[in-house]
Amino acid sequence: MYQSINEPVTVVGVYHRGQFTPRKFRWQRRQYVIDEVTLSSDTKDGGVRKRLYSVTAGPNVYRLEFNRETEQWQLAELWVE
Amino acid sequence: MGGVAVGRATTERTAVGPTTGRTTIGHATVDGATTKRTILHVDINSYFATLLQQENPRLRGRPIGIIKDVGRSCVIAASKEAKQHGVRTGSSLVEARRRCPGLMAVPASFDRYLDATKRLQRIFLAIAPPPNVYIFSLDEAFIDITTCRRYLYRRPRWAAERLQADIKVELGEWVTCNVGISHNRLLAKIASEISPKGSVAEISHANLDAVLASITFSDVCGVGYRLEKKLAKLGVSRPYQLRFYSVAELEPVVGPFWARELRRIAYGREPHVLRLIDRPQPHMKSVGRSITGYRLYDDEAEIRAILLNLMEEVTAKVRRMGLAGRLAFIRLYGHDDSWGAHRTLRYHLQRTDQLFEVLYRQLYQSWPRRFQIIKFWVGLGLLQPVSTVTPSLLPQDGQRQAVATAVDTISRRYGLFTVRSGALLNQPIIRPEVTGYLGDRQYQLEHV
Repeated sequence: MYQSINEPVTVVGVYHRGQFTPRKFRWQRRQYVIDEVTLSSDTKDGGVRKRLYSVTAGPNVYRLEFNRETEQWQLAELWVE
Repeated sequence: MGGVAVGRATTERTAVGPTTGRTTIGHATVDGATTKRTILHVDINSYFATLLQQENPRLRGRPIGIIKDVGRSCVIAASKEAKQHGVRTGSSLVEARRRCPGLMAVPASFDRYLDATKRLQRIFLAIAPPPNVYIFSLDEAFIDITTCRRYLYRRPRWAAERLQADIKVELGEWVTCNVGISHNRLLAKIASEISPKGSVAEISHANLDAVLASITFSDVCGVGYRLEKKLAKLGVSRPYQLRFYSVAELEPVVGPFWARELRRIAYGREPHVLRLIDRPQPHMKSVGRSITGYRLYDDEAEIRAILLNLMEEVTAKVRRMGLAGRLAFIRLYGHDDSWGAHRTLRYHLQRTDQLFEVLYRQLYQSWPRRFQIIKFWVGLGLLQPVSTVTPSLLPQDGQRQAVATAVDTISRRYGLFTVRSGALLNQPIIRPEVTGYLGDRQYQLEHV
């Protein structure tokens, strides 16, 4: 089940051919290297556009959210079993 | 889709030859030459569950039941692994877990499914330009490649295989789809329904009869469970068998409409529901919104707030599309009872206060209240563009309209229900969501 986290994170990634790919993120003073971006989606909350990246880092799955209005990243959810 | 009116191309609609009585279907005229019409039907396999498994590798290969939200008990979609255990869409979670003890229930992410559908739409439009692409539901589409076959896809299978490859690149390796190919939408859809997961199948005139004699009605678009049961009484379980029954023989069992429709299906011709796609629809005819509660409701304040909440969403959508309607309807469902009412007005409305007056204060208040409510449904029909509707000249209407316009501006920027009625302040808000069959496709694909 996904557990809501909604905490700010710092994200490092690369732009290639006009597309951003997150490579690692820092959450609670720990660094997580992203192995794979498994799905990305653009969503809209009113006029606020967001991009959601589902990523795997080690054995875990994370949902990173980029608010395209405020240009801020947050760790939205974490998969726990 | 359907109307293959691109460039110099035209489509001949289904027509019965006057002398022979033979039917010609699925032929288009391209650059003066008559070409067999070619339709692809794309169906993403177990869409909601597949996207979830694509997103989360730990769920791949495991039986998953998608539920609407945490605490919900109805499985709205199942992964192929769950389907192998007999879990079906619409099963209760208890029943699904009885059939498949290891089933994992995961809440849906409708925003992400809709985004994926929009990305699929872009892939389809790269195969064939508008109006040849019709999004039939969140996970299904018809693509008419008749006009581009001559130069791009001499073999329709090439287009189908390109689609499958492009979808994997766009959405991920785990996402597979069936592609059905035929000369009309009914058969293309049947082809994709009966083919193995992730494959391409074709129904041509050569194998048409064999296919119609081997499939059951559950594979046929438009034929529901009840109709299937009526036909079973006649001993009919496969479309081909209907050829041995006349319209007069079918009418007493299924009624005049379905008697004719079934005869069309028996020969592999498109039924009404698919022919409707060809009919131009410049705007939506009605907007409705329903919600099934977590429990039975009988508290008046709660019922009022839920109805108001649903009406807010309906009227906001109607205004967003620049429409106004004059058919207000409401239906309430209990455990095994339902009540409904509608009113056709002499004027058009598009504000919540107007709809609330009709549906709640007039229709709902007249209901004798015999049961507790589990499902609520409200809507507004007979929609017309506001520009064609006579505006109210009453000053109070002008003021309320100005307030609604201001609220719409805020909603567009910050989201629906940012500004809301005081009656909804202490209530959990029911937010807009998409449905699998995408009944409001025009709104979702063109206005959101």
